[in-house]
Amino acid sequence: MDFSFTEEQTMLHESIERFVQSDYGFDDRQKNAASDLGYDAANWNTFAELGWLGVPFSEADGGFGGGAVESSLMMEQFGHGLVIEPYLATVVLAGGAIKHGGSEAQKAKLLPGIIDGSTQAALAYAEPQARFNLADITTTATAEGDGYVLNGYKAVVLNGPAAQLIVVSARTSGEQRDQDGITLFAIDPKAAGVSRRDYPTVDAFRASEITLEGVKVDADSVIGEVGQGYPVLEQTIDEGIMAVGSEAVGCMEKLYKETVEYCRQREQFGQAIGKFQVLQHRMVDMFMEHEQSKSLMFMAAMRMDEGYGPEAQKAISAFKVQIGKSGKFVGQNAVQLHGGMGMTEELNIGHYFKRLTIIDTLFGNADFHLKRFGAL
Amino acid sequence: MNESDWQHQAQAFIADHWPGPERLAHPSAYQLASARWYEALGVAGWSTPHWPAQSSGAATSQLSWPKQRLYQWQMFCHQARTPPINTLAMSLIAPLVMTHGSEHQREVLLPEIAAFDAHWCLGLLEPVNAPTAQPTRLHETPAGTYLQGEKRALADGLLMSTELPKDGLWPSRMLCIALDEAQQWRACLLPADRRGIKLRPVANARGRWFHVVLDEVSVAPDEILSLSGDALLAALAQPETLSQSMLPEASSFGLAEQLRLLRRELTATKHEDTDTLLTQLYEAEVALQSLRALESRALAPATPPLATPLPMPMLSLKAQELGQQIGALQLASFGYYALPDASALREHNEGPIHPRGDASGETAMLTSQALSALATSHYGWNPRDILARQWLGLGENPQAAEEPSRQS
Repeated sequence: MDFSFTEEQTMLHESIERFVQSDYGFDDRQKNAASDLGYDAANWNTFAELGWLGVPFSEADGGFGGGAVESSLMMEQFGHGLVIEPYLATVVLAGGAIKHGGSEAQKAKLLPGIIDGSTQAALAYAEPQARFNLADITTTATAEGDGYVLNGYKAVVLNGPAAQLIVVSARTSGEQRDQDGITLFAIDPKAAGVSRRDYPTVDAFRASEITLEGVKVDADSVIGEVGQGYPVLEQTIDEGIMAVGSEAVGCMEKLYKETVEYCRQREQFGQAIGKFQVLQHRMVDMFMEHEQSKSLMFMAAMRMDEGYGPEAQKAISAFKVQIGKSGKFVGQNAVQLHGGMGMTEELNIGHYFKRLTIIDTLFGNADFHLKRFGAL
Repeated sequence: MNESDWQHQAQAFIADHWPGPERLAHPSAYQLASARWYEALGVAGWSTPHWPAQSSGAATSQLSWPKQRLYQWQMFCHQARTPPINTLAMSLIAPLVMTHGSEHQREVLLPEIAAFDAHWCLGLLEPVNAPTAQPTRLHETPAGTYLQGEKRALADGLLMSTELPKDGLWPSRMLCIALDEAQQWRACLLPADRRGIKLRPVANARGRWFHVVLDEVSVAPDEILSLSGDALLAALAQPETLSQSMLPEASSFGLAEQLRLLRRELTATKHEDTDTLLTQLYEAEVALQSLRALESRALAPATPPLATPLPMPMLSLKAQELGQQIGALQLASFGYYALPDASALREHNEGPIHPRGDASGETAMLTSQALSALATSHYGWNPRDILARQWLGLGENPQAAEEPSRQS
């Protein structure tokens, strides 16, 4: 693997690092998370102005032309700051589905709004019965006239409350778990027949349950080819894993470093608790879990950038398994070593742990990806 | 020479000089082939391609291979399951002597190490089961300087055998640490046959250990290293800080070979535990990917955003854990066929017991190889202590500071 980074990648990394360290305090983050919107619109505009919202899109589409490596460098920094703005949902998921499946006309119509920050978006792919199987879809899209009619239910749609554009997976043919016959549609959440139930998630993000009852869309709303949405969905979700996994790496770094610092300061029995060998060894294990995750992050990103296929999928699943295992270990031990303080709302430690816990579940947990890894 | 030509040359060298363990069923055949392998390495100069040219006058130090090529060389050796190049002498004694040895020590010891002529053992630890035991002492008398004490010494894993050493494998040199009269730790570099040194082999599944009695062993001034005290302990615990030219380990390739054999075993027949074992196999395979990614990062230049190099003890620790994970899975996979002592069967030329051939024996041998190699990686020091002190800045464990020789 070649770990030499380009000047652009290094500059991108440094600019996000500066922003998170200087302008993204934990107290502000908490205040924004509790606001009606659930994030800071000013921050979102800053992301757009600095070009971060265009990082994964090609220069022809108005983006930065970045790949998985750029995405990881960004998301790792977002993990350090526990960034609450809906980058994953809007740019990586909804934007990713359009990038991979959309026609030139659709990209020209939909991506500029995402890149300039004026459009919030979401990807509605999960269903209650499906667990982590992307192909398990009961939502139907029935051809009617020049368009389709959508009926069904989509679960835990990230950024659903703020989304002005939702990409929905629906079955146009085949059985409930067939990979063929899945079609993606870009819909307006204000369209007749779309109803939402919004809620916060345990890690302070926002999501919605979305019901589709006789939602009429025209044929131009189909992203990609009819019945061929599964490969687009799979690649998009794997990019989502790359993004949240990298975010988890940033969370873990923050947790182990803050824990080491706390144990240097906190005294018990007349000396800093960091001098106790048993605690030192735990912190070394946290450090190791972080470094292993970070190494697999780069390996997976480089595989993705070499070309999407079974090798990249295998690397992504290995990364997700590691993240699930390491995130749990680092989070639990950070809380444990901070004592009762670790779970209080005012200390950031518990919030990082919550985010890591949710990241394990997102897009398939460690058990699911271990199976996928073995099967590939 | 371009990289492709070099790769062909390296693989041809291995093919010419190492027959492969599968063709060396009897331990004596393995030992003979190992001796020939080490001799060929020494003659070709491929034992020390990582040494800086000025460290020794020997031609072996003239190759100046880049880091990536050194790693690939280790990778090819692991894949062919050759005896290891990164012996104790190579990875600990040589950097220590190069950096802190006198001219005389460098001239005598380095060529010996490069030619694999000396079998070193390390006298760092002391018997932990004797609460009244005193640290080994270095005391001066009008007649000279003498060592007195007991050690639990780890012998060089040159031949990678878990059996007790025979005459030809007996250590010929010893590094022994002791407290001098100023209460400073000193390192003595001695011939192991010096009068007053008694070595008794101690059976141990993870490498070759000796109980060493040092009874009024005389030590010449040029047999004592100039480095002393805490700096000496730090250098012994983390020799990679001494030299930029350590041979990078490629443990993942040796472990990958074991996992390949294990997968073959697990998929050969299905039984009621197969699914559980396969899940554990996948976990080990993910851990292998993680180790390989760590190794690759360790070779990367330290530039942003990866400005901090990876600590080498982390790689050793990860390889050690994965080796143990694989060992446990091997035992679980072979069921009752984990019981036969494969090396004893080889000793008497009795051949494999397993109805499908020598799969279990072969894997058991690989397990002992891996554990033996890894046991030599940090010489009995706990890598977690090193990482805590050197990389997390957590300060010394008070007990360890008082009794550095009993950290095992």
